[in-house]
Amino acid sequence: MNALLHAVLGTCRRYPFVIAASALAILLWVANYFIWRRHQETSAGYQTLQRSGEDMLQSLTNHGRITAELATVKEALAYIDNNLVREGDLPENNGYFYQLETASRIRLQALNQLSSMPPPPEQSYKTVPFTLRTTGSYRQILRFLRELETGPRQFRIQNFALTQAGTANEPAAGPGGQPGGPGAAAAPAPGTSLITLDLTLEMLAHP
Amino acid sequence: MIFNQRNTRHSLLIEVNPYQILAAALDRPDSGPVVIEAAAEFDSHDDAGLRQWLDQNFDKAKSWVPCIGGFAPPEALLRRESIQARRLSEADYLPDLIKEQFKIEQSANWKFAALSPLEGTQVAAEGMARPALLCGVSHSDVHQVQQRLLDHRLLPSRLELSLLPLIGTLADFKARHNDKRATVVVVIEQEHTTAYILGKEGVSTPGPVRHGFASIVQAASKEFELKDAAEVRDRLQHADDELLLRASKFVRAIGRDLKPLVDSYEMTTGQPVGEIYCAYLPPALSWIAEPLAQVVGRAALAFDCAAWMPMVNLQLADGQPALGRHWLSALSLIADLPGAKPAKAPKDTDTYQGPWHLDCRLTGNLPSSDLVRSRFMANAVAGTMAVGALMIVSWQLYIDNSLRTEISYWNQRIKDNQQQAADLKALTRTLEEQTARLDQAYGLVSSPYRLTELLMAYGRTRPERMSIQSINGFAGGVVLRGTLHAPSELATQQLRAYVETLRRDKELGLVFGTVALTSLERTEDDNSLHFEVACKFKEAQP
Repeated sequence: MNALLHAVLGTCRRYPFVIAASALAILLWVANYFIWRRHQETSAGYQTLQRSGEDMLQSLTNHGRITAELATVKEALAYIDNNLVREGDLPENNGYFYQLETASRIRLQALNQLSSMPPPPEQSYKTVPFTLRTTGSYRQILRFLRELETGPRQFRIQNFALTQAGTANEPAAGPGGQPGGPGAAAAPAPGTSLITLDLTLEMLAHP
Repeated sequence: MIFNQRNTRHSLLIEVNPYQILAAALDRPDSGPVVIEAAAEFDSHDDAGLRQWLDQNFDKAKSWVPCIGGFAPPEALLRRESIQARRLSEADYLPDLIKEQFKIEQSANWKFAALSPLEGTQVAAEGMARPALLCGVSHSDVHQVQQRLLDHRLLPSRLELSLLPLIGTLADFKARHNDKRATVVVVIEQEHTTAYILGKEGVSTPGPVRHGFASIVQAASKEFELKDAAEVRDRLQHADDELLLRASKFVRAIGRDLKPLVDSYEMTTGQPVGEIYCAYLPPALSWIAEPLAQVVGRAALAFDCAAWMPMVNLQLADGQPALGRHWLSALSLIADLPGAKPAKAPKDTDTYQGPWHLDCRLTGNLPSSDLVRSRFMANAVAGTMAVGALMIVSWQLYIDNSLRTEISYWNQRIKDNQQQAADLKALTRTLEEQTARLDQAYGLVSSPYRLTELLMAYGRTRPERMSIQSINGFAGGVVLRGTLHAPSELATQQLRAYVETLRRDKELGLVFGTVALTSLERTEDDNSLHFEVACKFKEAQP
């Protein structure tokens, strides 16, 4: 052991720079390895942090857009909610169609509210079905449909049937003997082709 | 500091003998005598003193000090023996001969040479049987001395058995003085004494005497009644009158065994033996030579180093004290003796370096001869590795620090915007909920078409002679029924064109995936066709 120690000391004494530099290099390379390992771990954590930070900043830039979208959605929902049908309020429901009847100057020959299916529990809305029948000229039918489509209440047509109903014979008498008075169905001119519209639709309603 | 000039070659002469270490600083100019600038003597185990002297006299910045070394290992072989000269070319001849004759078991680990006992030249591998001076030294002895020199930053350019140059020097000295008598060189080891007789037939090597310096110590112990060996040795170092008076008693044991050997030589060769020279004895023990010579019945060799040195191209520097006789073996290593030089200059790695000079170095264990370059390269490589590692460590630390700064920056940014992000998250959640409600409403009332637009499109595309009886809409599509007032052949062509028009119509094409004529019926008068056209939605309605 002493001989080995003596040999080692002798070598160190003969090659002081090489021994010192080699020892320093070994120590530094070992330190390099550990620093590199730590850097790898830190770098991985930094990547995650940077991604989350950039995502946060990116999402914050959308703050205005999301606020605007939310306002628009709320406005749309408020419009829908304000015009929902209440299934139990039959006069109000039929009254809506009669308003359209007046506006389009056509007469509804039949108007019925049907029973609705109960909605699923998570559903915010349900639909109430209606059937109606009317006969009129092509223009009158179109006007009625346009009033229905541009009205405030939301609906979907389930079925419709447009069939020829012959031709008009004579003008219909209005209230007070005046043909075509305001608030009454205007009779088509004689010889005008008539169309019968049978419509089944579902209106958006409170659940 | 002695060596601070650049235009001279400086080296060291060192001899490690059984009693002392002799060291001399040499200045070897390209021409002229070798100048001994400084000389020092140390106890054989005084490595600290030697190191201190070397540090004082040689530049510490120099890694290696070239030196010429001599040593005298007790197990060295130096015997005269008859050999078959032509068999020297056989690699195993000399080791096998020595193993057989001198009982050296590990002969493979020895270095051997055969020299002429008269001139000290290498015996050529030719001719028949002839006497030779067989020289040998074990690798372990050489390695020990060599490593000791290296530990002192001394790089030996030659490492010789110092007894051989001493014999050469004494032979030359006798020749210069035309002395026909033989001379005995006595080496007193610790436990035995060896004699080498230099005569007209060269070196003779009688067997060793079984008494050595220990017998002198033992005799002195009895004579001075000293029991401690250290005290006896110390007493022997002080040659006062009392010691000199009893000196013959101390050396009697050695002399008694040595005398028959000398007498036998005289009787065998007929050559008288004149003087005795005791090698290696330090000045404090030089008194041994005279009484020993008297006991053997001869005279001690009178040798004046100061007068001899100029004859062998050696010179003391100004102010240096004269060197004693005990320096003879050391100075013999660098003495420029007259005589035949080798025809071919020996290589540095050759063992034989000239008459009476054998280089015993183990060159494989020495630093490279290309010392400066290899050391520089080693330093450069090690330094580069260290500097490279340092730079990479520094770079990594810099990168690591930058990364931590970035992490701090992002942590701060995230912390600063945490509240806004939470608010935004809540907004987003609300938006998702509201949008889901809107989607529900859309899902309940969405339709692929607007009925008014559908009717307008059918009206716009209707041919002139076509009348439509009915339009029926349901979940899967729309069925159109009507009559085309035209002869059958023309009517079928027009209906085909009509269906194609429906398919290619911009508005209807967006709504319907399939438009097909599903029924065609001719009326009885043959002037009209009843038809049915089915239009299927692209996606079935729920």
